Order: sequence, then C-alpha cells, then structure tokens
Amino acid sequence: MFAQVVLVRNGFVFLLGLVIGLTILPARGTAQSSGQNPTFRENFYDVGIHDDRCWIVGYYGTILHSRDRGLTWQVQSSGTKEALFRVGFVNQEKGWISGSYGTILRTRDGGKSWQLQRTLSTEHLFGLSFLNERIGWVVGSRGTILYTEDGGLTWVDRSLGEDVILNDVGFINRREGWVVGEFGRIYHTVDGGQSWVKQKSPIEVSFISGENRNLFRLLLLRREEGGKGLINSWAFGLDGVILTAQQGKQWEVVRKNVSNNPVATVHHLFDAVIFRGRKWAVGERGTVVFAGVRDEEWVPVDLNTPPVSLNGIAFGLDGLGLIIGNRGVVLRTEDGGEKWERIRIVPRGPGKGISRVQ
Amino acid sequence: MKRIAEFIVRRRLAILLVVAFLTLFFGYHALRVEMYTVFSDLLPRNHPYINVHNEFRRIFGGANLILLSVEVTEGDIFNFKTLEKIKRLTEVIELTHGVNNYQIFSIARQKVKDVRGSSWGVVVKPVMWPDVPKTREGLEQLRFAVYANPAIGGRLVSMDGKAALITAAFHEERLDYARLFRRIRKAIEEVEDENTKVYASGEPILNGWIYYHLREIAVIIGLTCFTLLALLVLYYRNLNGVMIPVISALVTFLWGTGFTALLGYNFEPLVLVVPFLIAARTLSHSIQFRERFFEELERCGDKEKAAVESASGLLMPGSVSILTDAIGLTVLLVAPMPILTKLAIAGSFWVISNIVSVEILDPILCCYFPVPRRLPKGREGHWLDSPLRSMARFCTATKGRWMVLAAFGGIAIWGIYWNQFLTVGSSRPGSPLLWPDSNYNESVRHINDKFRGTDHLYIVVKGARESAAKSPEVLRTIEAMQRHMERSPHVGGTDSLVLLTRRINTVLHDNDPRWGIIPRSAADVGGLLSIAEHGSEPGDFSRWVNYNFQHANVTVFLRDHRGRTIREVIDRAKEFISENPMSQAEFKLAGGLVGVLAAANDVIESSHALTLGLMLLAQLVICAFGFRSLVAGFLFVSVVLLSNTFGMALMAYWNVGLNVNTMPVITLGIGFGVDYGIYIVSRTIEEYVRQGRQDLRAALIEGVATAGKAVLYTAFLVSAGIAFWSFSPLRFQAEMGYQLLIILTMNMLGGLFLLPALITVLRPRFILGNVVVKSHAGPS
Repeated sequence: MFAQVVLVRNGFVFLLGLVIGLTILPARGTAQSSGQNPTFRENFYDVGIHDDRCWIVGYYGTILHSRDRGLTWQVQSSGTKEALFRVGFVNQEKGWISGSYGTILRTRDGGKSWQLQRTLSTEHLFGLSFLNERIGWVVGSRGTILYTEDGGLTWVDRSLGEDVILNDVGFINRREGWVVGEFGRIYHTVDGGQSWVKQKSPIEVSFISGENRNLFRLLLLRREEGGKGLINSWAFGLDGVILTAQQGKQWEVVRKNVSNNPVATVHHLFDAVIFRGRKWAVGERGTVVFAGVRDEEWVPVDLNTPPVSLNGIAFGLDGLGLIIGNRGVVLRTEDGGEKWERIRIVPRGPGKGISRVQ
Repeated sequence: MKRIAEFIVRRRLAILLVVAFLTLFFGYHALRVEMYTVFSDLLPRNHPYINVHNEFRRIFGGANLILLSVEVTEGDIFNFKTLEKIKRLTEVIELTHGVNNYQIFSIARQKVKDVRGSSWGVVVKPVMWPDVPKTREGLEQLRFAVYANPAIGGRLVSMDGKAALITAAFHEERLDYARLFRRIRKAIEEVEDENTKVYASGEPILNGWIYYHLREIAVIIGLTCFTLLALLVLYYRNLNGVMIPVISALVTFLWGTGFTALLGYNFEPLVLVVPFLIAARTLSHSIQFRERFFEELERCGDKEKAAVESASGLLMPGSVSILTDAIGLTVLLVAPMPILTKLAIAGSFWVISNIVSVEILDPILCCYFPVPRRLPKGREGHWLDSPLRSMARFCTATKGRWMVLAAFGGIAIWGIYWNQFLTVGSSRPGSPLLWPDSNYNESVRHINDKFRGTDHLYIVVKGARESAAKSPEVLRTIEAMQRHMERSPHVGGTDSLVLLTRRINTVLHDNDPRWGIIPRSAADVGGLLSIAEHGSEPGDFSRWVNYNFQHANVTVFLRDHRGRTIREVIDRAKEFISENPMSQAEFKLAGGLVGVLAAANDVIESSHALTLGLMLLAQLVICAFGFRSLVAGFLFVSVVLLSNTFGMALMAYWNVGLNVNTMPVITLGIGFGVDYGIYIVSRTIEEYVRQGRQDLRAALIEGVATAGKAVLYTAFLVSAGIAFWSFSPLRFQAEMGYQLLIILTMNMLGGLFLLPALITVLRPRFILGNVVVKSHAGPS
C-alpha cells in the first residue's frame, strides 16, 4: 500500500516533471559573428614597396602590410577612419602616410604602430615626399604645403595662399622641388619651399574657363647616386594628359588630352613610376600604359580587369610590382611587369588576409 | 449525457431541419469564398518593424520586390541581341499593373546613368537609354560605363558580365499575383533562347509559382478525397458506414467555408492543409461514432437505442476532443498576425462545428439510414482485435510497461536534444515552400551567385528635422553601420546615401577617387546633393532619401532570408544602433522583405511558447474538467507534449523552420493529438466500471481493443490521405504532410502504448475510483 502511494506520488511528480521538462526546452544557439573584413574590398589609394615589404593604404584608415612580396597581408591599425592617400617609406622601418582632413601618420617600426602627427591643417593631404628620414613635404587642398625637418614630429606651414588643389610634390634635394595640381598648375622652388614660382604650364586654364586641367602625379628622374640634379620630369593628369620637362624647366605636352570630345575614351592618369627603364602609369577605368624612359610612345596594357579606377603603382626588389585601385583591386607582377595577375585578398583570420590569384 | 442523447434522437427531425437550413445558409455563403494571398496578412500588427515598414515603404520601397536576372551561357551580355532582351523585359515591367515606377532599376532605365568628370566638365548620360548601342565602340563604352560605376557594376550587371539584373518594387495593396506572374512568365518565354536564360525571384514571383501549382494541388486534394472514400467503402461496405462520415465532413466543410466567407476572409493557398486536416478530424470523430454505433447495434439490435447509447457514451470524450482541437487553433490568437488571427477564428468555428456535424448529426443520421444487412464485426470477431489485445497485454505487463516507458523516454531525450536546433523562420536558402530543384529556388541560387543578394533589409534613418540626412555626423554613422553590417558573412553588400554623396564628390573633382569622401560640413554635403538633384529626375533619390532629406534608408542585401541569417543580421544592427546614438537622427528597424520576416519571426518566436503553453493549459483544464481529475489532465498533456517535442525535433532534424506557415499546422497537429488518448481512456473507464472495478489491466486491454481499433483505423485513414501530399509540387505541403503524419502517429502510439503503460504504473484515482462517467454504465 505504502509502495503504491509512493509510486502514485512519484508518478504525479514524474508527469509534472515531464510536462515542465518538455515545455522548457533548451535555449537556442546564439547568432554567430563573422570574420568578413570590408577592409580587403576597400578603395585603395596608394601602394608603397620597400624591398620585399609592401604597404597599401586606402579609404577608412585602411593600411595593409605584407612581409612576403604580397602573398599574405596583415591589417595594420591606423587609429583613424580618415581616407589615407599616400604612403612613403625611406627604409623598412620608417614611413609616413598622408590622408584626408590633415591626417599624417608616422611609423618607426615598419607599421607595427602608427602615430598621428599634429599638423594644425584640416585640408586633404594628397601628396607626400620624404628625402630622408628627417626631411619631407606634404601638399593638399587649398594650396596647402607642409614641411618637416624632424621626421614629421613638427610641421611648418609653407602653403601657397591660393585656393588650388595640390596633388603631388617632389624634391630632388632639400632645396629644389616641384608641386603639381589643379588647373594644370606647376610650381617650382629652389629654396626648400620658402617661395614658390609658378611655371608655365602648356595646359593651364583659368578658373572661369569652366574647364579643368588637373595634374595628379609628378615623376622625377634623378641622376644616379653621386650625380647631381634632375634628368627629366613628367606630370600626369586629366584625360590622360602627360607633360614632360627636361630638367624640370620647360614643360611640354607629350600625350594630349582628347580634344573637345565629351565622351573621351582616354582616361585620367593617377599614378606613375619608373622601373627598369620603363615608365608606367595607371589611372581611371582600368587604364595601364607604359613607355620607355627615353621615348614617349605610350603603349596601353590590357590587364583584363574591370574598368575600376587604378590609383597606385609601385615596384620593389626582383621585379616585384603592385597596382592597386578601387574596390580592392590588386594586380601583382613578379617579373617587372611582363605578366600581371589579379589577386584578391581574402580574409584568413582576424585582420589577416591571403592573396588569391583570380 | 444520456438525457442529451435521448433528446437528440427524440427530436431528430426538427434538429435535422435546423442543421440542414444552417448548412444551406453556410453553403450559400461558401460560394463566395476566394482563394488568394494578402501580403499584409503576413505582417504582425503593431510590431515596431512593421510600423517602420508601413511608414516608409512608399518612399524607399516595400517587400514586394521582383528580381529578373538575364543570363547568357556563351559570351557576355554586351551584345545587341541580349541588351535588346534586357530592354524589352524592362519595358514589360514598366507597364505592369501595380509596379512602383520610381523603384524599377535596370541598365535600360533612364535613371541609371554614367556620370564622369572630365576636362570639359561633368558628363551625365543614361548608360543605355533610350536605345541599345549597335556599334562595337558603343558596346565597349557601355561596358566601361557599367563597371566604372559601383552602383551599376556588380549590382545591375554581374562582375563577370554574364548577367544583368532588373529589380522592381510593387505596391502591396492586393496585388494580383497570378496575373503578374503570367505576364512576367510570358515576357520571359519571349526573350529566352538557347543562349539566354532569365531567372526570376522575389515574393510576387514566389506567390505566382504557388498559384501556378494550384491545379496540381487540386488534383492531390481530389486523390486524397477519393482515397478516403475508397478506404471507407473498403472498411465498412455499407451505406451507413460510408455515407454518414462523408455527410459529416461535407457539413463541416460547408459550415467552415461559409463562415470564412461571412467574415470576409480569404483562403490562403499555403494553409490549405489546415481545412483538409479539419475535415480529416471530422472523419475521425465520425468513425469513432460508427464503431461504437455498430458495437451497440450488435448488442441491442435497435438502431435508435444504439444511437442513444453511442451518443451518450461518446458525447463527453467527443466534445472534449473537439474542444481541445478547437483550442489548438484558438490559441493562435495570441500571435498578432492577421493570417493567424483569421485562421484562429475561422478554423475554431470550423472545428467546433464538428459538435453539430458529428456529435449531434451522426446519431440522427444513424436513425434514418437503413441498418446494414451485415454488421462489421466488433470485439473478438474483428481481425484487429487479437493483435490489439496482445499489444495492450504487453504494455500493461510488469516488464512490458517499463520497456514502453523506456522507449518513450528515449524518444523524449532525442526530442529535447534536437529541439535546440529548431530554427524560427525559414531554415534553407531560397524558399522553403518549394523544392530545391524548383525553377524559383534555382533562380534564387543563380541570382545570389551573380549578384550581392536577393533579399533586402531596409534600416531607416529617421531624422529629427529637415535635411538631417545631410549632416556629416549622420552620414558618417550610416557609413560605419554599413561597414559593421558588411562584416557579416550573410551580407552581400549595402547601399545608402553615403555612396551617392561620395560618388558625387568624386565626379565633381574630376573623377579623382581620393575625393570619394564625406564632406565635413552639412553645407558641403547639401551643395553636392543639390548639384546632383539638378541633374536628376523625380524619384531618382527615393531609394536613399526622402524628398526633404529628413529620412534616409540603408539597404542591406542579404544572401538568403533564413531565420538564423535574419536573427544574426538584426542582432548585428541592434548592437551597432545601441552603441552609436546620433543627435540628429535615429536608426529604425526594419523594412523590406527581411524586415517583415524579422517581425514575423519575432512574433512566432515570442508567441510560440505562449501558444503552446496556453494550448496545454487549455487541454489540461478541459481534460481535468471532463474527467474531473488533474492527474487525467497531466496524463493527456504529457502524451501531447511528448509528441510535440518529437514533432519539433523532427522539424529541426529535417531542417524545417518554424514560421507563419508551419506554426498553425503544427499547433493543429498537437491540438488534435489528445483525441486518441481521450477515446481510449474514456472507454477504459467504462470497461472498468462495467467489470465491477476489479481488474484495471483487463479494462485497459478492453479499452485498447475497442476504442483503440477506431483510433488505429482513423490514424491509418488520415495517414493514407496525407500520403498524397508528399507528391505536392510545394515542398512545404509535402513536409507538413510528413510532419503531421509523424505527430499524429506519435499521438496514436502514445494513446495505444504509453497511456496504458503509464496508467498501470500510476494507477490514477480518476480511473480506479470516483467514477466520473455517470452517463453511461457500459453495455451489459
């Protein structure tokens, strides 16, 4: 009898337990987070190569770094969300980056850490040039020119005082340099930037003309180590225009922008580089052209890429070269530009990516 | 109960006339019922996402989006022939009734433009309007224009150049899906050839496919009805046994359909399984009555007496069963979704009508139908009798009962384990309503392969004042959110006013990509946007921002709309919103198809436990009241809960999500589940009393052998009917068929095996003493 009562009571408890147990079902798994990294599909604005090391900078504070000739990549923390336009290294450890709204970053350890430099400028700094680890210039919108002689710790304002966008700067020594920019303007200094003289530009137009003749990139060919001065210079710009000047004095057009054709098929050139006797330029809508250093017969290269803007090109040791552009486009060569492969940097762990040939 | 039964039989003519009149009344109204899908029925009432969706759908586009992808096998789309096809399809969409003309996007539209800054100023021209380029140079220019613009390349034309996408939003007010689908299909057939294939996806297309398959579904329903009839004929072989269940089912059908029409409700094609299930239950109750009637007739030989005895014996368990069935649907009222509310109200009435069509009408019809010349063998004479008795003996034996309990315990553990994997919402990419190799799901796969995602989530940025969307703070926060969302592997991409602002800034600075940044002041942003506005047409900006720039929209393109995907993406958005408050605006979740589904999933998730809890509580109360015992309530509820757990686990195991379509079917299945047990236990009590309360085991064996026979037969009948649903062109219906089959089988097994085993172990007092079934002392 007692056993039966216990059994009945236990049975009731069993039923109650069954009901409660089945009602309160285990909680569902939580949503999983992911490692998809938009940084690898960003608009890239410039690439720098020093020996085997490569840096790519771009929109939203993007800095990518590779130690193995662009095979694997790490995201370096820039500490900013500003767009980063230019990168320059004087050796494997020391480098600088300029960006939007007065951003200048400096590293002394190959990019492991980047420090934001105080510039007091809020302009976009499009051009950057360092002669050595102490002396450098950056240029940008509203005629901004900044100069440092302590490796970027302090910057001196040597702006033009004109509302003109300056896109690039280049110095052959601490006194003589050039700046190119909006309206096809070219400025020259021989006193380390204390004064700037506007050179005669064959494409310059006035503001009220309604036309534009922007120059985006300056390329200086210096004499070999030990020699002095400049051999030749080029400026690249809107609608594929290319100017050249022997020793940087008399500028002339070597590649015209297309005449009054509103549907120009020759596209803007945003960056250029000299490597192994060839000049290379890249630009709008997938444009890649090259020419010999001593001739101006520019040959287009069909790299079979989508016609996105290609914004930077650089070469390094043993024929390593990279072209970067909008929407994460990266092209890589190992033979000095004979054969280019398009690679996609795909995430491989947090902040890490691997190049995959497309 | 006996007095009620006697009253019914005594006043049978009057009652029959009243029922006939009411049946005619409902039948007349049943003719007016229509079958169509109302999109707004799927939107939960007063859900914050739906409020946002309703407030902004006219500006930014709703959830009724179609996507047509024109794909080529050889070469790419940049040839005159293919581009002409894209243009033709775009024109068909533009002229389709119900389309929101501001929300059509295709490279053949005037508003899809190539904008480029050059030495000579800003050049703006439609990429392929009004004419398709014919020359090689023109085609190359088009290719350049497409890929140079991130708003076109990758979005309207795939990056490999093999596919072009046309998207169009449709107004949600009673869209004629069937007509729209026919029109689109015709246009697709016109342009398709050996090298060109058009893939179509989106809610209107999905609904169109469902309508397209309705004829096949009608054939399945017809086959199901025929099979049920054939089984009845085979089993009973007499007019009484065949016709009365059919008449009951017909009366219930007319009452339910008529009531649906009277309320102004429609038939939703996807929940057609529900009326079928209700009809199947009518048959089931009627068969229980048949079995009892023939048993009583065999005993007393007088059909009126047999009708009274059967009715008095079955009125209580029958009514309790019907009430619990009805409760299964009524509890859906707690889910504030019109489709479920309609189902709850109309379905409950439909089920309740079984009290009239079976419990009242069956005894009356039995009196009017002729007595079969050869009665079906009941009790010992029936071929099922011996196996059922052996089975009952095993379940009630000392070892056997524990073996049965252990087996069901194992099932419970398996069920609890798999329940954790149950998904709320869709559980597969594409549409779970259709088979994976269906045209629609194949289209979804193709479009997702080529483009960034077919399912849109709108996150609205609600500004505090005019021009709030021009604020750089707002734009920067929107951009940060886009980047945050793009980190999700479920997100193919995002779009917002930020992309437009950056693009305009670039174009106005000679296409220099470095200028693709957000200006620092609202005045600069305003300046850029006003320049862009001057060169645009009405509606060009409407996918990003409203007319006075107060509210903006962030579109998140999802690769699928699985429940897990939606939850992860919505959680991600919420996380960002809570960490990034803005002074001039606030993020509001959520619009678009994904927003609507997120709301529906939310409601399903929050109301599912409540629905189940309420249903079990109602079953507990009704059973406890019916049997005057709380233990009885718990006994039945535990069996139901077990089959529910098993059913849900099977859903998880088969990767079927719990959503607005599956929830009512499952709830109904569970609601129906208690019936079998009620009939068996009720009969056991009768037998126990009849045998002088001496031998519980003998009573259980008798209960299983008699009521269990009807239970087994009705379960087989329903299963045979449901089996045809596995041939349905709609995967949803086939899976729900399997699901119901399993749940109902589990309930049957619970009634035949578990309950006898549990009763012998627990020896509950509601059976052993305090007899409650006073109306009938059992046939002597």
